[in-house]
Amino acid sequence: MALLSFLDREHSVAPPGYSRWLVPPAALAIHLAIGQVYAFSVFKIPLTQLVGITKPVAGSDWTQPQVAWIFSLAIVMLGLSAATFGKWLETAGPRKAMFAAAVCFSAGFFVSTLGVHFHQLWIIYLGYGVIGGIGLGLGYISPVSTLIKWFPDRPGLSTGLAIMGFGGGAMIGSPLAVKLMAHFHTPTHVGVGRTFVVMGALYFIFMMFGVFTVRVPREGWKPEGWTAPAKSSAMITAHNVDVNTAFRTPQFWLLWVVLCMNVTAGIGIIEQASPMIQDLFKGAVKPVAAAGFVGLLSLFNMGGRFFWASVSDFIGRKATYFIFFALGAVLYYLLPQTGGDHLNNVRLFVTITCVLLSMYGGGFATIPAYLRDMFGTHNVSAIHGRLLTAWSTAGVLGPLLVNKIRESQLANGVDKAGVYQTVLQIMAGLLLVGFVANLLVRPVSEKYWLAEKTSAPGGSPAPSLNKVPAQ
Amino acid sequence: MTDQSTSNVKKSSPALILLAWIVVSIPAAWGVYNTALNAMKLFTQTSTTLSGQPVK
Repeated sequence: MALLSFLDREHSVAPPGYSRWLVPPAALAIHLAIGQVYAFSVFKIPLTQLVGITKPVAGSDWTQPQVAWIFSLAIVMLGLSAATFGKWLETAGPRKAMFAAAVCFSAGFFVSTLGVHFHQLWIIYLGYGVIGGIGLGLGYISPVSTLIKWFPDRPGLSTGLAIMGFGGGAMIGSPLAVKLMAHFHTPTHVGVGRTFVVMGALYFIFMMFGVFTVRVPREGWKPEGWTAPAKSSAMITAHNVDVNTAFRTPQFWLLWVVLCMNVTAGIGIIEQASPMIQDLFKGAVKPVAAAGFVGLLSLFNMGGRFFWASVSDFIGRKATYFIFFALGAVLYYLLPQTGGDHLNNVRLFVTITCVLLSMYGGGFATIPAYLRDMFGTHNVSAIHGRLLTAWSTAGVLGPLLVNKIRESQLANGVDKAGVYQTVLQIMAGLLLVGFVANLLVRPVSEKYWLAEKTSAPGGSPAPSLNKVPAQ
Repeated sequence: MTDQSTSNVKKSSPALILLAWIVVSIPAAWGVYNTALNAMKLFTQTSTTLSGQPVK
């Protein structure tokens, strides 16, 4: 197919004079689109009223737990597809991967429309959950290694920008869906089906902007006036490790624990942000204000992705995660003390949670640069894809842990404020586990390096296909 | 090889770069604006504690 050959890696090599500052908008187009997944909750109530329109009809309409599986399935597929297709992406190139992501993500909406039309939930599981979820995974990792190669001088900043887009995607997806559903709502339809069609089309067009704009740097390219440091930090490798080999290194699993603990602790707040602020400050914070608090947290989650990933370019990835885990553990421990029974200071509570959420976002955004420092640029997208299984694990572990502890404490007669204290102290403990894992991260042993031939884009040596024999 | 080392190359137009950033900034700014409006409710609909006074 000559038309589709446009998507091939060799056809997306940047011509001389191409500005690298065109690549972050291309990456943002993908991440701002797929970040919509975090706004899926706006469809939850409408999807439970497809028959009843104004209220659910028992026995005919779907229940909220049934509908909640759509989001869970999409997140699980995100992790699985990122882990599975990461290696393919390295050879196919970012343009083809972004195109595949756009097709899958949009198709997820279109297939789900059929599910709404025929009132068959399994079609939505297949559409948004499975097909759309594959698009999420492909889209999430597709720009990572390209950005790192274009910005060898600022890998944290560049990947932080893209991953910030994923945090911001929900901010676009949520009001967009609400406005579209209001527009398409009729006395006989809740408007979800047509909203899915329009969103699928809009997101496809927006993602195609990224597909057409993205370029990979040509062989040997480096930023104007930049030279790779002659002697770099021991924690930043000048070598490359193959994805299958990286999977066997202790560094990969230590970083897996680092990401998993950081995400689990963050989910501990996200899961219960609205009820927590209302329970800790009884009478002072009403549900409307609590919804505003959740909005504020999402702004800090997004901003933290850019801020902390950029900071990591200056202080190093390991030091950045040390801040997340040390400061985070202290703040989680102190957070219940700000409540109505102790200091009774909403301002302090809000400030602390905003800092914690900025570090939660920062953990996501800094990990690609940490992987690049450890394993080189050669397979960084594929390695990142596999590491995202830590996110999927945390996505299950976090809510499970929070809800189990909460239920057990309430059953034992502990009051609500006391329950939060226990949960947050356990989250502080998880961060200490992350601290130890980060402490144990050392440079990858020479036996895992790929054999080198020449210098590759971004000043990193290009590996040959032959690996240095292990041991 | 750097862009500097290649003479007579056609560099990406600054207008094109600006346009690319505008394409992604407009929806992002719209989303942030909507979220910020929502977040303001925390400051407008919470009792005096946010201004430093303890809630009784």
